[in-house]
Amino acid sequence: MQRQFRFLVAGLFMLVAIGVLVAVGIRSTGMRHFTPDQLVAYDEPIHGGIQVDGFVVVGSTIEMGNLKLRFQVTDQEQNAKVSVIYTGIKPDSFKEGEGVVVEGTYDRAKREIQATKLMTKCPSKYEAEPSDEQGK
Amino acid sequence: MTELGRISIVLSVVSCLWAVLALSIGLKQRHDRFIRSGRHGIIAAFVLSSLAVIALEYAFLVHDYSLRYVWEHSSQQQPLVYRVTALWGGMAGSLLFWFWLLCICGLILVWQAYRQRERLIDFALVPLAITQLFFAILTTGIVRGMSGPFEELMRTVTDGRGMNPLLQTPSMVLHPPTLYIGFVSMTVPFAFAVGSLASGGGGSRWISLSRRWTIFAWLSLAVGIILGGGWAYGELGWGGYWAWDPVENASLMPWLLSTAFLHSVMVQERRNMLKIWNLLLIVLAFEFTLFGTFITRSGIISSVHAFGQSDIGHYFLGFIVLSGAGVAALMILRWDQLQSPNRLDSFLSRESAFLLNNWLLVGMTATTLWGTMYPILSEAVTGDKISVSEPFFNKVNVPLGLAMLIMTGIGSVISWKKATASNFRRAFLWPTILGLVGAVISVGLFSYTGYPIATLSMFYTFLCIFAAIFVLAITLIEFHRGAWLRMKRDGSNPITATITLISRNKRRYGGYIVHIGIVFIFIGILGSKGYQRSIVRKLAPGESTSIAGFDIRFDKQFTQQKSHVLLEGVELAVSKEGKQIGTMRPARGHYNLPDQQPTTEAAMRRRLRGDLYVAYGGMEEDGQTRLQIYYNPLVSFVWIGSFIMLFGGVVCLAQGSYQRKDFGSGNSGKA
Repeated sequence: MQRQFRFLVAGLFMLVAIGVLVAVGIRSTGMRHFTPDQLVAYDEPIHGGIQVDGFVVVGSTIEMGNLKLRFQVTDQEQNAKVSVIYTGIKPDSFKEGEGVVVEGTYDRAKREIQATKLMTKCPSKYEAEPSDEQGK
Repeated sequence: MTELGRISIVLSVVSCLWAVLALSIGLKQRHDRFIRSGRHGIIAAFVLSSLAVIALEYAFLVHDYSLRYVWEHSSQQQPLVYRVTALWGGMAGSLLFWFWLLCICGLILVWQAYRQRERLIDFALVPLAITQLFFAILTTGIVRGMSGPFEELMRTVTDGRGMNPLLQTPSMVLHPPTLYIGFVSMTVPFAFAVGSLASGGGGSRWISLSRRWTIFAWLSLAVGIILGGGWAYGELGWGGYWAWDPVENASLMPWLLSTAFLHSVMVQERRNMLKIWNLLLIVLAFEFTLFGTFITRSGIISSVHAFGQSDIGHYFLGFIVLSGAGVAALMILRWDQLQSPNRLDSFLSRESAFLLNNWLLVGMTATTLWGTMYPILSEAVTGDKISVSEPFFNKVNVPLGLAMLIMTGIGSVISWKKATASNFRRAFLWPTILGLVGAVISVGLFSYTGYPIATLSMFYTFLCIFAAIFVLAITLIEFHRGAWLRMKRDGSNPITATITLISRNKRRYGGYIVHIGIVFIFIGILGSKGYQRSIVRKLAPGESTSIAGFDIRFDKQFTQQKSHVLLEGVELAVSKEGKQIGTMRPARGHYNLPDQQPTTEAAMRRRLRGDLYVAYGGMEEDGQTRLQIYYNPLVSFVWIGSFIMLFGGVVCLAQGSYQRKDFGSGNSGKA
C-alpha cells in the first residue's frame, strides 16, 4: 500500500507541475483576442500583447518606407477602425479588404497597434478548397 | 464513369452496414456462416470503394469538369501527377480516400482472418467496419455545406480552377496521404483493443496481433509530420518548420499518444499490467486522429489556415462521442477482466520508468490540447477570448520534452521489477559523467564567446546537451555490449556483429535507433529554435548586410520562366570573411492562374552547421529590395534525426512478422 501511495504522490506531483507550467505559460504568453470594435469598446487596462482579427480597410494602406507599413483594420460590420503599424516585410497575400490577424501592443490614446506579427487569412477563393497543409 | 462512382458509394454504405450486422450476429450466436458473410461485406466494400476512387481518378485524367470536385481541384495545364493527387486535394476527395484506405485495412484483416483462424480478428473487424460505415456515409455527400466527390457542376466550363500552387510540390503530394495512412492505420489497433474487450478477454493477444499496425501507424504519422515540416520550411518562406498551429498540433497529438502506447504495451506484455491504461491510450490515439479533423474543419478554432467550413466537424464530433461512449461502456462491462494480478514492485524499475515516460507524453498531449482549445475554453468560461501561440507551447513543452529525453535514456536500460544499486551504477555512471562534462564544456564555450543568452535558455541548453549525450552514451553502450559479445562468440568484425545484433532483435535495437534519431532532433531544435537569428533589411543594388558571419550583397534583379511558373526575384552574392562563397536567388513564383497570389521561393544555403535562409519580399519603388534573412543553426540535425528515427521505425516494423510467425506456429527455435 505504501508503494502505491508513493506512485500516487509522484503522479500528483506531476499533475501539479504540469498545471503550474500551463498556468504560468498562459499568464505570460496569452494574448487577449479582439475584433476591432471590441477593442475600441474595451475600457479596462490591457496587460501585455493583444491579438486582433479583422479586415484591412480598403484604401488605408500606406507604405511609410523603412519597411514600415501602416493600415487600418475594421470588423465585419465596419463599426470601428483601428490603425496598425507593422515593421517587416508585407506578406505576399496581404490585400485590402481581406482578413488579417495582427499581434502586438495597443496604444489606446492613439487607437494604434504596434504590430509584431502580421498574418493574412487566405483569400476566399481557397476557402472552398480546403487542404491539409501545415504552416502559416 | 461518374454514375458508376456514385452508385459504388451508395452500395458501399450498404455493404459496410451488412458487414457490421452480419459479423455482430455471427460472433454473438457463434454462427460461422454469418461471420463469413460479414467478411464478404468488407471485401465488397473494398471493391466498391476502389471503383469509386477509380471513377474519380478517371474524371481527373480526362478533365471531366462536369464534376464540381474535378473543376475545383484541377485544371488543363496541371501536370499529370498533380491531377492524380488532386484526389486528396479537397475535403470530399480526402474523405473518399480515407474511406478507401480503411477498406484496404479491412481487406488485409479479412485476409489474416482466413489465414490465421484467429477469432479475435473477426471481433476487430466489427469496430473497423463501423468506422468504415461512418466514412462511407460521409462520402455520399449528405453533409450540409460540403459537396460529395461526384456532385455535378451546374454549368459548363472549359477549364478547372486548379490546385493551389503551394501544394504542387513533391512533399505536398506525399504529406496528406501519409498522414491519412497514419490516421487510418491507427484504427486497426483501436479495433483490436475494442474487439478484444468485446470478445470478453482481458488478455494481451490483441497487442501482439496489432503491434505491426501500431508501429506502422506511428511511422506513417511521423513521416507525415516530418514532410509537413519540411514543406513548410522549404516552401512557405518564414524560416521555420514548426509553429504549433492547430493543424500541426492535430497531427502531433495522436503521434505522442501512440508513442506512449508503444512503450506501455511492453509493460503489459512483460508484466501483464497497465491493461486499462493501454486501452485508454489506444482509444485516445484513435479519437485524436478524428479530433484533428474536427478542430480544423468545424471552424471553432481560428487558424490562419483557410479551411472550408461545413458541418463535417459536427459529424466527426458525434462519432468521437459515440465511439468513446461505446468503448467506455464495454470497459465497465469487462472491468473485472482488466484488473492486473501484478503490482508495481519498485519505484526504481523499468515499469515505473515507462509509466513516467507515459505521463510525460500524455502530459505533453494534454498541454498541447489545452493550448489549442484555450481560445474557446477561455471565452466560454470567462467571456474573454485569450489565444496562445508558439511561445506558450514552447514554454510548456520544452521542460516536459527535456524530461522525456532523459527518461528515454533511463527507460532503455533500467532493470525490470527492481533496479539494484549495481545496475544503476553500471548503467548510468559513465553516461551521467559524460553528459555533465559535455554540457559544462559547451555551455562554458557559449559564455566564453560572449554569445548573448538568457539564464533560462542557458539552463535549457545545458539540460538538452546533457540529456543528448546521456541518452546517446547509454544507447551506444548498449550497442557496444551486444556487438562485443557477438564478436567474441562468432569471431566476426564489428560491422557484421552490429548488423546481426540488430537483425536478431529488431524491435529492441530498432527502438534504440529511434532514440538516437530523437536525440539528433532535439539538438536540431535546440539550435534552430533556441539560437535562430533573423533580420529584415532593405537593400539598394550593391549594398550589403551581414548575419552570423555572412555578408550578403544585393547584385541584381532577375526573372526566369520555369515550366509553368514565372520566377521574379533578386540575385545575392554571399561572402564570408571577404571571400565570395556563393550566390543566392530568393524569388517569388507567379502562377498563370486567375487571382492567384505569388508564392515565396526562399533561397537556402543548407549546411550541417546551419542554414542561411533568405526570403524575398518584393521591390520598393526606389529600386531597393526587401529581404527577410534567417540563420538557423543546426537545423540540418532535425532532418538527419528524422531520417534516423524513421529508419529505426522501419527496423522495428520488420520484427512484427518474425515474432508473429514464432507465436503462431509455436516454433520458437529462432529466438
